[in-house]
Amino acid sequence: MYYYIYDNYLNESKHKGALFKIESRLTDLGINGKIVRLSVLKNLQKNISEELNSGIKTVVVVGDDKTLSQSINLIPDLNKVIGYIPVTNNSKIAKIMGIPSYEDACNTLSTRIIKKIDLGRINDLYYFFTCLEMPGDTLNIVCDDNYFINVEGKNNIITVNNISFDDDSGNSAVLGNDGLIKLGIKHTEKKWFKPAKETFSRFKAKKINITSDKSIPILITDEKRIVKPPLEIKIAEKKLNLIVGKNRII
Amino acid sequence: MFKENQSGVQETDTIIGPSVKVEGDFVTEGNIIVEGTICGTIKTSQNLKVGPESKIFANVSAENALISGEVQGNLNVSGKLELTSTAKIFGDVKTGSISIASGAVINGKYQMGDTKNKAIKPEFSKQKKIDLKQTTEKDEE
Repeated sequence: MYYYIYDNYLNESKHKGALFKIESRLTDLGINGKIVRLSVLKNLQKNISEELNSGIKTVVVVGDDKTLSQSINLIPDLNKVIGYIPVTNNSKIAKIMGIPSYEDACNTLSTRIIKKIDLGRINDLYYFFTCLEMPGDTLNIVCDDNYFINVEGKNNIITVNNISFDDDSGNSAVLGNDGLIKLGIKHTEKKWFKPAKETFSRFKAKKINITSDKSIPILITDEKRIVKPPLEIKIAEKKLNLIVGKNRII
Repeated sequence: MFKENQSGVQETDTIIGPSVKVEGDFVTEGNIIVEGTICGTIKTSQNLKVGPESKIFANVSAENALISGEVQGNLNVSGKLELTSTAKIFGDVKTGSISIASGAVINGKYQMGDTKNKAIKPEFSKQKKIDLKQTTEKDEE
């Protein structure tokens, strides 16, 4: 049985046309199911955890990358299959899954190619599919218990990627599924009357430990969480059952 | 060394930027580019590139290496070692082959080529020993 979660922003009237097309296509393919529309008062976590225990095997997220990331955090431990119908033109995850439009996504759901994907895990509490971001000025980083990374100066941003994108368009991606986390450090050097100079560092590791004196604000795919240190970030291998298209990059 | 792949992206696993200092045993199986500082040891089964502003206080082991910065420690490169004019090495160097630009500095012992094939020694043990007493007696007769 399929369980469709519609994001809050799809309640706007401009998305009605797209939703009508999606629903009629799903009915034609014979894969329609229960629909839950999220709202300000309806919490995603509460909805999913209640419904998933009632025999649902496939959860389909209808919305954008943020909705998918929030859902992914809840699903892996329950061993369900997750599908995605992007109702946005800027979905990077949809591109790497091989479903650039919602029409393609409906057909992909019916063909049901399931791939097991690695997920990133923070402190055995949160999962992340693509990346997380944090300010890096007061952090101590230890990789694989072998070497220590000391970030010098200010204006540093640290990214930890399971799947990282080489450019903003999302057309090329550094793939996951190798059991390694990609750590990126972006340093911006600002000088008076001169353009800012950016330098990058990149590491690969199986496990990253981050410590700090203060609590760390983390951005997990546009969703902000404040986590108390120390952080242990590692890969949960083959954790997510994802329905992907033929033209997938992963 | 550090050739671009078909999509035009360099296949480099690790980049240590100028704002970063790494301490400890840094072991990887991919290409490394160093623009910052490293203390400890570096081991890679592939290529290593050390930028002109970088400083390495470590024993280095790599397949091939292109060095433009300062290395304080022993270098063990099984393939080709390339030193540019800004390279400074304070330590012993062991390499398969080398290319040194004018201005590069090496302070330490230097060994090149396969260590198994040492210089040829004459094999005296296989030659017949000459008895000098017998030869003198024969001469007197």
